[in-house]
Amino acid sequence: MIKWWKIVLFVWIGVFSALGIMTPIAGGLSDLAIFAEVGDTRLIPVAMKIADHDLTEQEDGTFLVAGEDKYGDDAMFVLPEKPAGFSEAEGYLLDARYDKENHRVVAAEILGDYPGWSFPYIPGLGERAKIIFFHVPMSWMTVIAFLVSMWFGIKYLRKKNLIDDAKSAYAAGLGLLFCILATVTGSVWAQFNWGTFWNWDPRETSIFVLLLIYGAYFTLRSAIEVDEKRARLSAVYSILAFVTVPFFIFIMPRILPGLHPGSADDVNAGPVVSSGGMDAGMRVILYSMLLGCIVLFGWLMSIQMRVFRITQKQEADDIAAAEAIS
Amino acid sequence: MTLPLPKQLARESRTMYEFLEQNSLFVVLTIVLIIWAGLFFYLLRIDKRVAKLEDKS
Repeated sequence: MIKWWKIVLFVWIGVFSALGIMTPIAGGLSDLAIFAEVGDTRLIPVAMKIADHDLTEQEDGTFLVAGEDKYGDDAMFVLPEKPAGFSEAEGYLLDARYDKENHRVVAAEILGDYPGWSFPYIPGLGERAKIIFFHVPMSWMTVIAFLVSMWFGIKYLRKKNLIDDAKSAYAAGLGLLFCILATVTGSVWAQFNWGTFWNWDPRETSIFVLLLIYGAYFTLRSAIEVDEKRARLSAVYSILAFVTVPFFIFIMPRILPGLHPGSADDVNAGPVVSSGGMDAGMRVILYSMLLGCIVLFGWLMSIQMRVFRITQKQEADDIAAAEAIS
Repeated sequence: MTLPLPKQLARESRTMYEFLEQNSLFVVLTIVLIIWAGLFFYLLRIDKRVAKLEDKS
């Protein structure tokens, strides 16, 4: 029988992924003003609430309407066409830029209705900001998995039980998987945000070193034949390896200037999560995804351990059978 | 609430790369796909271990 929490986990991750991906990104007047100030004419998505259902047709065929943005700042908006159902509409999501001379928000396109729920527009990121719901839980899971690996390493050294060694090894394996996924997803994102897959940003350098450190853990394990010796050495190694993790994940990339959000010279976000500068909705989805990933990690660990226990029992049975014959 | 997705799909692009550059949401979708591929790979490895067990018993 399928346990109920597995269904909940599936629905949980599905719902929060969908919310993270599908929630529209909408900026306000302040975002438009930043680009207008420097003469950047790019279009950005802006949520506009209609203040007065009175359209004024202009000479060039566009329509002028009074409204406010999602933060409550008033402005005049120029719509490219008269939308159907205008008199009942609450507002629109526009692709717009700011006209500094006439103090108007000029929409090039109406993308949809006013979104009741939206994420803020982050200059330079746009839709790509949504990577935070997938990439960041992966890197946090890396830390958690390596921490679990160290925990069972210590437990093995105290109790000398090979099951703890297996737990330590599987946690490190999952940690390595999460670490690789964080690296690859970050690299794909970097291609579109920074223009290159890899540019030795402090964050990229530190995760690369981390991959090498934990790659060496598995090299060490595969090099030793005797179970007890392998368990003891890898337990000690996992403790030593985890000592470096906080430094590479939390400290080094934050005290050095770099391109990754949260670097020392990041004016947009600072250390993204801890500063409290993140949108409340985004934070809820991020933490929910992290929780889902933690449960998923526990589930994968338990599957591996069930297989391990059966394997161990089989081997013990084989030995007992061999002894009975002799 | 309508989503801006269909209009984004319509944005002109000639190559796959250009498409991804202009429709950033699909970069995020690619990333989700990579994560699924990683988990699927892990699933395959567990499957292999279970198959080994089955062979023995």
